[in-house]
Amino acid sequence: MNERFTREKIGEEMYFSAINIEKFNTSRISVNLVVDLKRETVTANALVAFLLRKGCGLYPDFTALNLRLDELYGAVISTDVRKFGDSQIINISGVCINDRFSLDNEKILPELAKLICNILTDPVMKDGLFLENEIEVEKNVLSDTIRSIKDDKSAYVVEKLIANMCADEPFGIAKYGYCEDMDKLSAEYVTKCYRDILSESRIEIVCSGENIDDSLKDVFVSELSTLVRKNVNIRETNVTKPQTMCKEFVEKLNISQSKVALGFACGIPITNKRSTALRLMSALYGGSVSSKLFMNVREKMSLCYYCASTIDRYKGVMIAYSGVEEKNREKAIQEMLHQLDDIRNGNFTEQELEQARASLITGFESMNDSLYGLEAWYLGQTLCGINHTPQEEIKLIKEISSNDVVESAKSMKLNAVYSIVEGGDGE
Amino acid sequence: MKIETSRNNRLDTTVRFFTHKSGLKVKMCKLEDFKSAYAIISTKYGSADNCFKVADEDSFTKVPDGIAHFLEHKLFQNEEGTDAFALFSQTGANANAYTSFEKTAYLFSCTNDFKNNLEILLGFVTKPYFTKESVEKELGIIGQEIQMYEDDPGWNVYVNALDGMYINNPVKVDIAGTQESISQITPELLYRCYNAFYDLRNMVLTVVGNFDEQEVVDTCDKLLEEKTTFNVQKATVSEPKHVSQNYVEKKMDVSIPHFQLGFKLDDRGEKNNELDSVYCEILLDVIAGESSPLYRKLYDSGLINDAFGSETFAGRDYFGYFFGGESNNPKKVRDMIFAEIQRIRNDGVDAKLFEASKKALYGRYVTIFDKPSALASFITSCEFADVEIYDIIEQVANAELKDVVKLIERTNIENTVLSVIRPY
Repeated sequence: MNERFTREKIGEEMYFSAINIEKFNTSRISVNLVVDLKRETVTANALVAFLLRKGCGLYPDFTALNLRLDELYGAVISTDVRKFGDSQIINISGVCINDRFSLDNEKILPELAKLICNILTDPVMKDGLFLENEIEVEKNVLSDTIRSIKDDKSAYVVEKLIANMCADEPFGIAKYGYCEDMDKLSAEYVTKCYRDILSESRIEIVCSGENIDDSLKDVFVSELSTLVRKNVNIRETNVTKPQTMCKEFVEKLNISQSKVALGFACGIPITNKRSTALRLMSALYGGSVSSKLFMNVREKMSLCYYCASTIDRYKGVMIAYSGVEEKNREKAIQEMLHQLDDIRNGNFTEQELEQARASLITGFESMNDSLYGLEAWYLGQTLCGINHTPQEEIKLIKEISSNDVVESAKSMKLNAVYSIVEGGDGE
Repeated sequence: MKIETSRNNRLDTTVRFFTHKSGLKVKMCKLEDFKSAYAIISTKYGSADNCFKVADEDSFTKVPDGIAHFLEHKLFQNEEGTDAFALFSQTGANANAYTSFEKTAYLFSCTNDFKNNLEILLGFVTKPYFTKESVEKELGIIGQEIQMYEDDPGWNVYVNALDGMYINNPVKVDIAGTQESISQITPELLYRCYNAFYDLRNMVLTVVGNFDEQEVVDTCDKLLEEKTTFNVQKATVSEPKHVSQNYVEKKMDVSIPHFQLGFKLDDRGEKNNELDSVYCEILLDVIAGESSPLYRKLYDSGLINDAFGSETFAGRDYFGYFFGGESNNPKKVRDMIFAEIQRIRNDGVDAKLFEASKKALYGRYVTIFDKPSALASFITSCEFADVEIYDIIEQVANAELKDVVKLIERTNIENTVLSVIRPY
C-alpha cells in the first residue's frame, strides 16, 4: 500500500499537506512555521516555541492541558525548534491514536487539530503580552537545553564543527540560540517575535494517517483564517562553499575518549542533478555497517566503536564523525580521509557500491512503515521544493553510476576538522 | 507441529505461535500492508547471568563482567572469516544486536529476501566461532565502546544508581564490563557461556511485519537441530530489601547536575513483576507525570526542566522505579517526590488523574503495534516473563485504583538511592 500525498494552498504562504495511508493505529499533525535563521531573533523565536506549549485559550493551565491530552488516550503535543538549511522552524507536533481505538467513540484527531491551532493562535497572555513568570520559567528551561548540548559529547562535536565551519552563514547559528541573549528577552520583545512569526513565516502543515480529509483541512482553514499574513519572503538556502584551506579546531574538556568531526562541502545545490549521487556516496563512505568507515576504521583497525558519515544535501555538506582514544586520534582522522580518497580514486568494488545502494533502497522502502518517516520525508521534500515520492527517489538511486559516486566524492572538499580532547578544567 | 493463534479484536492483530521441535519458541505477527519484515531472536541470557554451573558441575563459577556483551559482538563472526553483517549487507537488510541485563538479541529488518535473511540470522546465531585472534581484535572495539559510555552522563548516573540500589544482585554490574574485566575473556570462556545459554529451549524468535509464515517454519526446520540436554543453573543471590547507599555522587564535565532517584521495591518473581509494571506506569504518572500537581510545582519552581521523566524497572528478580532528569537541586526534587508519595498515602490517589493516566497508558500500548521493532520487543519480553501480550493490554484496561495504592504501600522511602552527576 503506497501513501497518497496531496498539498494545497490554504492561505497566503500557508499550505496543507495530507499523507493518507491506512495501516497505522495513530495519526500525526505537524505544523511548521519557517522563518529565516538570524542571529538577532534565533533565541527569542526558540523561546516562543517553548512558551506556546504551556497553554492556550481553551486550556490556559498547563496541567489542565496535559490532563486533557491524557484523556485523549495519551495524545501528545510537543513544540520544538529545528534548523533546515538556512531556516529556523518553530514546530508544533501532535500524535494520537485513531478514533476506532477509543473506548467511548471519541473523535480524537479533530480535537487534537483544534488544540494545536488554539496553541498557535491563542497562547496564554495578559494585556497582549506573554506572562512574565512563564517567560522566566521557560528562559531557564531553554538555557538548560542550550547548555546541555555540551553534555552529549558525540553530538556536541558535530554542533561545534558546524558552528565553526559555517560561521559566516546562517546555518552556523545554533538552532536554540544563545544563553547570553536571555537578558534581552523582555515580554514585549518575545511577544513581538511571536507576532512576526505568525505573520511572516511560511506555514507548512502536514497531517498523516488514515482519515486525512477535507474536514480536517477545514479545521486549519477556519482556525488560521484570522491570521494576518504579510511580508512572507523566506530567503533561499545557499550551499556551503568548498574551501581551499581546511581549518582545524581543538577543544579541551574533561573526557575519557576524544571525539572528532570532519566537515566537507561540495557546493552542489540540491536542485542540480549531480546532487542525487551525494546520498549514495555518503552511504558508501559511512552510512552503514558495510561502509568504508565502519569496515576499516572500526573493523579492520579496531580504533573505534562508531565511525560514520551523514549528508545534508540541502547545504551540500557531509560530516564524518567518530570517538577514539586520544593516542589514535590522528591515525583515525588520516584513515577517515584516506577512505574518502579511495572513493575519489574509484577504489571500491562493485559489491561495496551495490551493498550501499541496497541499504539505501531498503531504508526508503521501509519508510512506508513509519508514519513519522513519511512525514519527515514529505516535509523535507516540500521545504526543498522537490516533491519526490520515496518510490521516485528509489528509481533515481538505482540510476546512479559508479562514476557519479566518484565525481561526488571528488566534489567534496575538507573545510574543517573539529576535535574534542581530554584536558579540561576539573579534578 | 501445531501453530496456535491468539487474536485481539480491539487491536485487530493476531499472533501465531508454535514451539519448534528444537525447543525454540516462535512468535509471528503479520501486520497488514507493511512492507518490511522485522525478525529478532533472543536468548534469556544477559549481563546479570554472571555466575552459573552446567550439567554435572559441582560448583558455580563466575565469568568476567561484560562477557555476555562480548559474546554478542563475536557471534557475528563465522568460521569462513567473514561476518554476518557482510551477509546481510548483500541483501540490503539492516542488522543489529544488543545485550541487556537478562537477554541478548540479534535482529534484522528487510524489505525483500526475507527467507534468505532469516537463514543468515538463524545460521550465525547457532554457529559460534571464537578464536584468540578475533577476541583480541574485539578488545579494541569494545574498549572504545566502554570509553564512549564513560563520557555519557546519562549512562553514568543510571549505573551508579543501580550500584547504590543493589548489594548482591548482578543487575548492578555494567553490561559492557570494564577494560580490565574484558581483558580476561578467552575463547574458552565464550564457548562456555554460549553452550550454557544459547540452547534453543532458552530462546525466542519473533517475526513482525510482512513475511511468509511458511518460510519461517521451513527455515527453522532446515537449520535448527535439537541439541543435548539444556541444563544450566544460575546462581541465585540473596538480595536484601534495603539499598547499599542512599546517595551516590560523581563529577563529570556536564553543564547541569543529572540525577536518577531509584526506588527499590520487593521482588515478586518475573511474571508478577511484568504484570505489576503496568500498574507502576500509572503510578509514575500519578506521582509526577506531566498532568500531576507535583510536576507543575517542580517545573514552575525551576527545579526540573523538560528532561524530567520516569521509568519502571522490572525483571526476573528485581522491581522498582526511577525518576530522573536534570536539576540544580536534585536533593530538593527527591524530598518533594517523597513528600508527594506521603501525601498520596494520606489523601488517596486522585481518581480523575488515575483514570486519565490509565487512558494514556492504553493509548501508548496501542501505539506499540505501529512499530515493528517495539512490537517485536514487547512480544519477546512477554514470552520470557511467561505472560501473553494481550493479558498486558487487559491488565491496563482493568486496572483499578487499589492496584496503584498497593504499589504505594510497597514503597519505602528508606529503600531509595539518589544518584547525581555534578559538574566540576
